Amino acid sequence: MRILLIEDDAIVGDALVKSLGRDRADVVWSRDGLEAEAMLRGGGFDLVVLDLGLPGQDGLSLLRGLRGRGDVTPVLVLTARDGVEDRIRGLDHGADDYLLKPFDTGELLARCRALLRRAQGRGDDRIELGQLTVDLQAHTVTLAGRVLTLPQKEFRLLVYLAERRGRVVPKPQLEQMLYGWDEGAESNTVEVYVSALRRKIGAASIRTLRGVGYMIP
Amino acid sequence: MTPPPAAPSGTAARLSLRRRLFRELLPPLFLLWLVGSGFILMRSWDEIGDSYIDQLEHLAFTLAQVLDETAMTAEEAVESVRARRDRNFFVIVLREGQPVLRSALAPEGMVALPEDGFETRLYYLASAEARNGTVQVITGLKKEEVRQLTTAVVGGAALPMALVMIGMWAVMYVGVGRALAPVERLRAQLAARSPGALDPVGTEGVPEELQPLVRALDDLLSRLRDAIVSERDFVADASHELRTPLAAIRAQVETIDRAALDAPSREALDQVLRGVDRSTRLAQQLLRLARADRLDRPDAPEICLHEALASVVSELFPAAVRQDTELELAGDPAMLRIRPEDLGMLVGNLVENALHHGGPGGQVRVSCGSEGGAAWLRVEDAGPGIPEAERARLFARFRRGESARAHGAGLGLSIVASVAGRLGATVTLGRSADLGGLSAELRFPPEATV
Repeated sequence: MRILLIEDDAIVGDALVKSLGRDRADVVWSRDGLEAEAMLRGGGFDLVVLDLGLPGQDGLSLLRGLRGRGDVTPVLVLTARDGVEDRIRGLDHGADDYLLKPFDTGELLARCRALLRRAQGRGDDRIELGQLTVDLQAHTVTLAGRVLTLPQKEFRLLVYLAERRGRVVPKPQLEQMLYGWDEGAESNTVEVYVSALRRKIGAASIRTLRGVGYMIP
Repeated sequence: MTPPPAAPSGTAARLSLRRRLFRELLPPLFLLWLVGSGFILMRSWDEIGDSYIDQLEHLAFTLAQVLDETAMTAEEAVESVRARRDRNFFVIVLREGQPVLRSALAPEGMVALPEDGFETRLYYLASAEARNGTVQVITGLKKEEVRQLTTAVVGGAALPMALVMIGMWAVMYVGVGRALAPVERLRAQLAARSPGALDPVGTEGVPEELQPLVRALDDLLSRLRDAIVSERDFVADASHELRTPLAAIRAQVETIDRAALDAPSREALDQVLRGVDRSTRLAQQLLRLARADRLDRPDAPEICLHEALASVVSELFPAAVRQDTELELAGDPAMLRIRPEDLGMLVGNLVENALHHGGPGGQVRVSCGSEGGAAWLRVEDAGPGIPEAERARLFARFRRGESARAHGAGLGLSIVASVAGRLGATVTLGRSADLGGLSAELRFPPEATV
């Protein structure tokens, strides 16, 4: 798993190389936009972690160039600009996800894994949530080494939330995921699945934002 | 904050070009009319006087001739004169120095030409002698007659002149109005611009005389635009400059293998992370404040307050979870005209404040709705609340409530007060009836409520 890290700040870059490396990734670190551009043209990366504020060539034009060449390598954008327009611009230019600096390293790693999984479509990957491991290929969930059996809908719900770890997923979005547009779900069915899941994997593992939705922290 | 679109009417009146034109043009025109009429009056006086004197002389001469050469008596001759229209004439006939006839208007006691000749204070006079030298005829005319005729002539000329002047004034009034129409068009065009519009006005269709003005205005607008762009860049750069080192500290701390540390070291590390969090929050608040005062704010769109709150609250939820605080969104949909950044700033600061107030294991509720045509939103917590005396002080920028000292949320409420003030919303702090802690309620003006 090769990750290209494009980050001009020495201290942030150094920390990310260590953290991503510990997550079994082979990290190539570029600190300059022009150099990164050359590396991207060379290809061969599974994931790009891109800081938008770069010397040489700015992150957005790098991203535009990459997508312009038809390269679909997943890109996680790191930005220090918290303006809404900056974020939207990043996603418009083809970023797959973004994180605002300063970020939580655990969350960065989780999002990197999610992007890799989505891009490769590989079923042999696993999502780890503390004591809980979700095996997407075997469709199994292990909690502290003990295998749990989950019904199909509970499993899908868990995976959906786990892939969006750290973000609130609105309840209507979960209903739509579980039932599609056609079948009208009872308004409390999501709640039923959530409480069933909580009984099996721990009450604190799924948090409720009452009136909005759910989140795996 | 928006400047009034038009100058107060008093200033406009003083500075009106139209009024100025009339003030400059009307008095000279009136003076010209006066001088012209005076000139006609003087010329008429002289000409008419001369003409009468000629007539007088002619009359005297003719009478003298007639009396000399025909058998017509003086009475018959004078009678024929009297039959004429000019009743103000008089005739005196002298035979050998003795008056033999005086017509009705002849002044008493006039028996010869006066010493001072052919003009007295009241009369024009003429005289003629018959060839035999025995008959002298004196004719006269009251000056009053000349004056009346002159006045009639001058009046007859001055009235049409006055009408011409009035006509000219009317033409000027319309003409000046039409000539100033481009100025009015330009004014209307400028007044119709939105406060944020900084694109050039352009000199197309603008009269030559106004072009320097428009060019100067465009120049000013372009400098203003540059200033705004550099201000925006500064805020964005400052955000970058502050966030990157904070990210560096955080990312480095998180590379440390916590399992290999003893308990005091782990605790120290947690304190570092908390410090980073607090600095991040402070930097974010300062940037939000800078952004709230930005010049080029876009127009506020219509949004559903409840939906918008759902997304704002979702972004705050991870922080609430870290604080082990229950967060909840309640209330009913309400439509409101507000910029999402402004709403984010209001709710973000109130919720962060509530999270810190409530302490770990607390509860925070965000709710919204509309009442009496005005949208409201409320953030409540289950913390200790704020004593009434201290609530007002909390709004002062950088000032911290005594019992709120622990969380260092000095900026939050002053940002809320500043944004609310700009939006015309009122902020009320009170005690939450349901949760028992602080309740902060924002009430938006009815004109912002859809």
